[in-house]
Amino acid sequence: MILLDKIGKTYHNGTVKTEVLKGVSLSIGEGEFVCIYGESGSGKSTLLNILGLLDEATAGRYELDYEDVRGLGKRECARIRNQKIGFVFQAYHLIPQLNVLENIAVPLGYAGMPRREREKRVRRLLLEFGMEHLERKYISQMSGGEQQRAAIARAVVNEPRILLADEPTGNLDQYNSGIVMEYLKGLNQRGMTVVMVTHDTNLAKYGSRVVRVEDGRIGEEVMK
Amino acid sequence: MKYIVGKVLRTLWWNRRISILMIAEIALGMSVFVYSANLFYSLSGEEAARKGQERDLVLGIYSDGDTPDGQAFTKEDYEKLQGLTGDKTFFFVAVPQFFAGKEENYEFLVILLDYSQAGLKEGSSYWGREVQGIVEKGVNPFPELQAQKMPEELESQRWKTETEEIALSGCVAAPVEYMEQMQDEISGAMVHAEWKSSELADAETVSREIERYLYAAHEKKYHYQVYAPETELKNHSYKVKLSIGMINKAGILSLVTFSFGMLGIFGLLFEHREEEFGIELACGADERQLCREIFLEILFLNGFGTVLGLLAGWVLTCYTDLGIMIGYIDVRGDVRTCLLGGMVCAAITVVVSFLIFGKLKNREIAGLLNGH
Repeated sequence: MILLDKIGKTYHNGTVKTEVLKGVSLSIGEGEFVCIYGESGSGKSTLLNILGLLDEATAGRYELDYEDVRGLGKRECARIRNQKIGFVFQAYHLIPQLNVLENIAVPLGYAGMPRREREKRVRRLLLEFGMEHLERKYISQMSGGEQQRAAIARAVVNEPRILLADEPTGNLDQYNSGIVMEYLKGLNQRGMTVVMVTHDTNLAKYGSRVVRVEDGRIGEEVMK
Repeated sequence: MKYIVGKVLRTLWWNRRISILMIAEIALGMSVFVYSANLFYSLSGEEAARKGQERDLVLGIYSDGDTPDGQAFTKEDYEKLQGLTGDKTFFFVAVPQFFAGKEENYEFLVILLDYSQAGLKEGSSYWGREVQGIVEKGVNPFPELQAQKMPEELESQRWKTETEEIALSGCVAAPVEYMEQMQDEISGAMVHAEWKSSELADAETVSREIERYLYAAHEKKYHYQVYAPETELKNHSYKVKLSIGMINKAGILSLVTFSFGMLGIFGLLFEHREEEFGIELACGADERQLCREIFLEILFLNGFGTVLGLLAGWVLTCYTDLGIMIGYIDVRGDVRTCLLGGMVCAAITVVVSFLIFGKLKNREIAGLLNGH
């Protein structure tokens, strides 16, 4: 489903060049739960951003569903982000002026879904996540765990095939981390491909495959 | 599109304090601009209307203090002016008349005309429609003449002095020969002679010559001045124009300042929302949708501010008198001001949207999310 072939990413800041990824090759099959593990600064978040089309590789090839994304225009990339990929961030990245229902509905709004349908689908999801009581709340009124659950709901509201999670429990306590990981595991068990980035070895155990990234390169891979 | 409009409204409501401040700022700038533009158009319109009267010349006769002995203007003077200004010159002397009637008093102007030039019948006096009723009440300074209705062509004429507009419909026409018997009533403060000349080649030279002749002929007892109402408007309005010029400049300056201020404020506002735009892009919004969102947000703020500013500017124009044109020019709103205001609003919206979207356009989404 996902194929990375000698992916490289270099940042230029004036005359300073920083090579974050150096020839990374990786393939991910449908339905896998892959944990990308590495120290801070190893390039794992950059790798995830490239997978989620939030950043562009400076070298190499990226195929998604057998299609080379380099040839795609910005609109096509936006469509893929909207329909095929869901993203969960460490910092939740919810919009403060929208309530929970509206935040979760953002991908549906940009997909052109009518308002009633959006609200119906989001309410169903809130029920599933046990968050129906949070529908009208704003992020300033919610705990970190609640915000991250809302962020996960937003990521899956469009029923994407791939869920990318960048340190989803990085800002959470142990209890909430456990809840979030159970959500991700549950989504994977329902057929969603999950790629999660973490620096926590305990969380890496949730994946069916653990890929280690060291200094911009793929290190060891461990299959379970 | 509906989704984007809804999101924009939510965002404006969320940031309502800033939104209100920005709308007020835009409205203030726009109202000053509208007020100054309306003043400018009013004055330009008045000048254009008077331009048609460019060749209307008025002879003003003034005396210092008490009325001197002697006549200020005679039949000979009339004939001399006729000679100086040419055969085709048509002019008359206006003499204010006051009559005490049995029940009420009457005041109107007598216009002394060369009947042969005006195409009027000898032996008649011609009454404008506004004063015709006076004859029926037995008040007639010319009982020996047959009172008639003033011809429509003559009656529809109007002329403007420094301070008023006189319509011949409120006057009585009599032959210029009556000037002799009305000499006592033609004094320095009361004569108002005006003539139209469509073929007066050099109005300036002729005017100065008329003044020199009359001054010498009346032993320097009176001051004579030939002037054109349009020129007087210009002279009088020179200071007015300076004021309007200053207001115009202040209006434009305030708009420009507010525009730059708005650019700065919008820039800061949207800079703090880079994360929000990054989220929207990560959730699948494409650049066009983002551009529309930014454009609509700026348009709402700008649009409301412009509408309020236009209304405030019109209220200032129509219901406020800042003492610039008291009793001189009818200050009124001009529809061109609304069009101008709309164009300024559109231009600012487009430019600001373009600049803000331009900053976001080539950034990577991950960079927007993480603030670099």
